[in-house]
Amino acid sequence: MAEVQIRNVSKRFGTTTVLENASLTISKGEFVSLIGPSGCGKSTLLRIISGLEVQDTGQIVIGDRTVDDLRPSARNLAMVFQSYALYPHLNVASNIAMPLRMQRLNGFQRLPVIGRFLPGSATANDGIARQVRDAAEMLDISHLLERKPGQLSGGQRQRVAVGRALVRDPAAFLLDEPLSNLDAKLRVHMRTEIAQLHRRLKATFIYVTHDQVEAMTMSDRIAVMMDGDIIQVGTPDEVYDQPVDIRVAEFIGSPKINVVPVDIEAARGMAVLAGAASGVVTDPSAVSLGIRPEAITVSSSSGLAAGIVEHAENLGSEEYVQVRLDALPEIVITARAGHGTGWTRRIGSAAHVSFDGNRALAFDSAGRRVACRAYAPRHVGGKAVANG
Amino acid sequence: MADITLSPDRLQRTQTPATRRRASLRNFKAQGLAWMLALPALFLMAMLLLGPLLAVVVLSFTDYSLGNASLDWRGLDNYQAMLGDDIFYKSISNTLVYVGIVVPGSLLLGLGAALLIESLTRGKAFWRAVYFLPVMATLIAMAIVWEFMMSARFGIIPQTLALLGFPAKNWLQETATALPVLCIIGIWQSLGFNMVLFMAGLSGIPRTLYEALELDGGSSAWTRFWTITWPMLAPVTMFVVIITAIRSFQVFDTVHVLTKGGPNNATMVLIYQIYQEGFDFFRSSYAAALTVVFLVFIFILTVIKARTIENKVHYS
Amino acid sequence: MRPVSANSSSGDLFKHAVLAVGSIFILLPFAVMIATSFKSPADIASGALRLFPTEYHGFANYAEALSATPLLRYMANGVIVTASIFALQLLVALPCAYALAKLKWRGRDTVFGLILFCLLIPPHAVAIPVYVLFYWLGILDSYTSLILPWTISVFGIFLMRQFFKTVPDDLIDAARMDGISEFGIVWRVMLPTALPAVTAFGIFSIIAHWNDYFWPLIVLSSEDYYTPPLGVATFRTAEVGYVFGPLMAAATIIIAPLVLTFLLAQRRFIEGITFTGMK
Repeated sequence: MAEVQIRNVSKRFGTTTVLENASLTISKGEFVSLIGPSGCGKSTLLRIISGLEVQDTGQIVIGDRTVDDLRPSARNLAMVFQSYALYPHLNVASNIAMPLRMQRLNGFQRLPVIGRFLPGSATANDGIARQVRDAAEMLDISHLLERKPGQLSGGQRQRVAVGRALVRDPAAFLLDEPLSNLDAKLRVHMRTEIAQLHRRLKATFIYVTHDQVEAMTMSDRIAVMMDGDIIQVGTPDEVYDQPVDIRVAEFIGSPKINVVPVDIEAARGMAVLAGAASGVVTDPSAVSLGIRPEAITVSSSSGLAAGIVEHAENLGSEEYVQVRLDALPEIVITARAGHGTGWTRRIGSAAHVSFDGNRALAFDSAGRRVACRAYAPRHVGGKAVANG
Repeated sequence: MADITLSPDRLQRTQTPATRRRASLRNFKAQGLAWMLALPALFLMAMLLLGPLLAVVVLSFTDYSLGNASLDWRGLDNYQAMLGDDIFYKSISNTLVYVGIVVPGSLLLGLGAALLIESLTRGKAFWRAVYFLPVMATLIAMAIVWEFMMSARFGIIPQTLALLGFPAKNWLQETATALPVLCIIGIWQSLGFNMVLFMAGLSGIPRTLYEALELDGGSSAWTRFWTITWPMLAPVTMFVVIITAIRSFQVFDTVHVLTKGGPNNATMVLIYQIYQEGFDFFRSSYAAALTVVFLVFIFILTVIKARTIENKVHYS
Repeated sequence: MRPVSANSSSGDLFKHAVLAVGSIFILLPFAVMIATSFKSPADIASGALRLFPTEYHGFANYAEALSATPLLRYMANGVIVTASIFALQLLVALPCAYALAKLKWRGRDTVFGLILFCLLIPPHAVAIPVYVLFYWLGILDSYTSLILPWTISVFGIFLMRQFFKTVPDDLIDAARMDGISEFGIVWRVMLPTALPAVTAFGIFSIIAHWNDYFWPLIVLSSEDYYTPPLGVATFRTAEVGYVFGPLMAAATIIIAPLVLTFLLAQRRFIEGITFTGMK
């Protein structure tokens, strides 16, 4: 395994810029997810690392070697594809063995039948077979070695694809949305397995996904990409709690973060929400606040802003309540309420929402994060007023 | 106050000429490789298709005949000769008659067979194989069998007709009937091919359409055919018409073996005339001019076919 | 509800009857051919409408068919020529189809345009110049002259290109990651993946060239290279007065390989024909 450095990589397809000067360093043994909406350039970046695509400018460095001149197979990387990309005409064992055969046998030794009798091929073949068996055992697919990919379920194919990557003992694993073709239940299961595999191998993983849950649950660090740019790199907590940009805040987290427009009171920098002081002091350039659903409390009696319960979803373990604000009718706030709070029976009734000022995030007109902090408001008759 | 310092580890922008060169070198290699893969095909295409096509057109304006070391430019002479050539008119009209009979004949019989066989619960594969058999059989061998069946003295067909009171004649040697007999052989040979194309078309019609029609109150076979089957098959039908027409335009084998264009040029068709001029009389340039006429017909049909395929896209 | 059961079984019976009547027209030549191949000259000359021979003459007829002309030689020629044509067609078409379907290169669209254009050229149309070319090259009347014109199958390129388009790009990328060269990808990944399409094309190509009459007729003058259709046609002209028994035996022998293979692998053949016919 090795460190992977992406240095100032740019890529254009015709007139569209897919990557603009992207840089990122993935440490040895680290699990980094590249995440972003479709078309953000994450897959292209992965393909450039692999060598399947050639960048216009910039370098890729693996370990201490610049690999830009090397063919994909010479970079000692393994890739797991979204569609698994198994050879349909070869059985599982041959699929897993393919990269090793290409590395260790020459063209004549690879010939069918005759190849086996050429000098050196017996030893090499034995070694390959042993490694294939080991990988299969590790992934619990030993009983499938003789089958063709067409006879396997989605999850089994996925494991074979991982096995083919595993046997190479690569400098880094590249995974391109490997779980998106699986059904929901299996996806959750394979998520755990891949995370465990990473812990066991202690190898470098670069994982492309558009699913923020996958990125959050598996990664050491997440790189969020938008429009060909890496806009933030950080641990899952950092990216979730301290997004640098409103696009990051909106992309990470489900249900989505609430974004409400605010006015800034000139004297103190108090953010004014729907005519009421919010209890948050911000940089004067702020135009909106982002508040995650779990930082919002909804109550039938009192709160910062009044509204009507428009919809509520009971997930069993918790409920999500959607409140349309009286003062800002175009805004619907999603709040998380606890288990058994019974909001689903109160749709259409009045409610009040308030939030934890310490968890509020402020953004300027360009969507950039700006500073803000909580400022304890006083509640007077169910309405918050600015202190002093 | 929250600290917001996280940003990607951006290094300064470096676009060294070296990286540019590297990228373009790999790109250049990839381009070269693609050309290498296509090259054998391109070379053969130029030598055996495009070059000869051009040569046909050029030859048609010369006086070349096979074996000559030189040739002279003769402008439109060959085409002028064609206008005064009675055999040419005969072969054009015979070819059109042949196409005009074989296309509807093999289309309707093929469609009928397909409809009957597809609606069966049992024995589909059996009947399909039976009707497809002539497509597989070497036409030359079967043409000889047809000839034997037509022979006046021992042939099963004149003998049977004799029982019904017709004179026992070889219809292939009669000016009035030779071409129709060739048409029948043409239909016999190609209806199975059209049948399998129609069967593919039929299997593409969703069952639910018929069920919907039944709920709407249309349950007779007649209604089903005219409201669903026929309109849904329209693209396939157009397609079958064109490819059968193109193939019929090229009728040659049966003519060469059975009639040699006779009697009295009653079965002279375009390809046979080209063959005679080019390879019996070695008048290559005149044969080339005839080929150009043949090509014009084929191109017209192909343009119609391309149009139909576009329409097919609209249907799906 | 429609009364399904009673109605459809009597309807089926009627349909079978119609198909049986139609099949007389289809099968009559085959029946006559096989029946006559077992009949004696006297039997045939009587002109009587009889399916079975009065005296069995099959062995004599088939022996005569095989000895009067080198029929087996013609069949071997047919096998050599059809097999070589198909092998070379694949060798030329697959790499080109792969480059057209899966690689990005300048000129690709132009080359594909040329191929679409060449699809319009009927083989009869280029016969004269190709013949003249072969005449000047001095390769008329040889296996080369039988095989070379068909080594380029633009239809094959087109067909395989369409099929290759449906092969996922990931699979090719995976092969590249595994270290397989582009040329290797054509033979080790694309060919096995596209086997159904290759089979369909093979069926199409073999039927076309086993049965081809026009081109061998033009380029061949010595019997050494005769293919089966030419062989049976010569048999007929050679045998003065048409000895029908052996002639029908020869016809039976020549159509047998394809017809029997078809009957054994019916579904494959029909799927293949439909697949290639619809393009």
